[in-house]
Amino acid sequence: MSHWEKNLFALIRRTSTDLPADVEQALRRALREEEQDSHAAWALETILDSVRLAREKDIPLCEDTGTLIFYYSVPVGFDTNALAARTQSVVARATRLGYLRQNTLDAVSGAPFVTNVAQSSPVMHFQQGARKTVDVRLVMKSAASENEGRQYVLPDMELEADRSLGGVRRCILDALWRAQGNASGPGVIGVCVGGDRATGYAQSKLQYLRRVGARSPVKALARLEDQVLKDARKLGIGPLGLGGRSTLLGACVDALSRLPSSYFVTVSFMGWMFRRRGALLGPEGGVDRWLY
Amino acid sequence: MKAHALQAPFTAEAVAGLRAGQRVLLSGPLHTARCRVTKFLLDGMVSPAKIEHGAIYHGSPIIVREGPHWVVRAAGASASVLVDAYVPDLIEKYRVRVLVGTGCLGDATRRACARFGCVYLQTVGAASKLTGNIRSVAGVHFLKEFGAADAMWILDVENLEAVVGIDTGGRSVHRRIKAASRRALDELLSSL
Repeated sequence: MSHWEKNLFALIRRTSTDLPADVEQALRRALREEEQDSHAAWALETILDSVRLAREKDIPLCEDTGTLIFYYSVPVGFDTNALAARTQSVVARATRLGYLRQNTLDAVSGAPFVTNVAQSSPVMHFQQGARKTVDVRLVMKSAASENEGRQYVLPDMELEADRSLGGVRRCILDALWRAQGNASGPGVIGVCVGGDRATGYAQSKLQYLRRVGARSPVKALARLEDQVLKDARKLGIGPLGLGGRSTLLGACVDALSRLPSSYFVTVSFMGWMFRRRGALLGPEGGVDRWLY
Repeated sequence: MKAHALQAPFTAEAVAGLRAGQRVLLSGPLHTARCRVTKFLLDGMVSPAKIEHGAIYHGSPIIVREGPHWVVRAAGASASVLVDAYVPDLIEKYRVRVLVGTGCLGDATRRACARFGCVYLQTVGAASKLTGNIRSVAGVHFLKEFGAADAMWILDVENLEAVVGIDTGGRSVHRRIKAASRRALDELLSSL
């Protein structure tokens, strides 16, 4: 096994079993805000216990190991076909060893792909970067949170949402209310303003590479993120819809350009099992540095 | 908050004694049934395992084969909303007494719980914690047909922590939270 296979496997294993520190800290902060002995506190304590157990026992944080989304940034001239093949082979191995669930079906026949390797599984995004190392990030996104994602076209008369950040805020609140406890909250929402139907969702998910609590560099969007977090507390939906203040751990809003005739607002959900890890890999696949 | 013990066999009396919002420690066999199994059980087929008056688990474990044994790697609950459309008929047909899952279930399920004496127990769905409550894997059905994620696993659990989400009186924690959050949302929106 080359360094590539070894370290890509280690990346999957870490992502599946070891919640990033920023997410765990956000869960601890959420627990401090809930009343003692409430359902919300019980849920958060159970979650934090589970996070510790998964790490100690080297077992998956969530039985739904989700859609595997790999984001690769590679040096100029790098062979991405070979990297894709290696990624697929380590996904099959991680599935065999129980770090990933057999989680992929043929959409037409319903037959399982027992290795999790199929068309569009795992998902891999490649782009060319300026570094000499390969920057790889992995996000594992479960179905429960994915199912609650929503896309709005503004203006939306029913929501009284016009083409402004005020309108965007109304869409986000609507999405939060509709999701109730079904998106494995408390978690993080990724939001994209603008783009088209495809790029809107892609960009909303790209936000999961940001650390929880990292604010948008665009002032107006950072303000919106703060507002939405305050709003979410007032909704009182709480962990898993059991009531409480911690409906959201974080809100990440980004924007893309748009056509004059379209104004999309796309909201993606990520549950408390926010699995995201990364690494910088050298030319032979050795780890320069783990990320997150 | 004190937790009430609920143990198999799940008698009508024991289930009827639970109230929405109570904490429960559940022990006994759970049958995993997500969309495909549930749909199959409703399409005029007969369940290969006895689920009458039993417990259904909206979960789908990561299980690997080690020699002759199944070893559960992680077995959290899946969002119950994924099977919500089929659950009322499943309760009616098999007189299921206990549903175990996570997240919210809707009004049709709530009414079926009240009519046929079933409770919905909401777990946190935290896989590694729940895995510790599994004593053994008592069997599996439909493994070849539906794959490991959608098969019907029979998991023997002990002291699994949950909150009563829906009781046999049709009371629902989520219905209450949903209505309260709607009022909070309307108030927020009117202030914008």
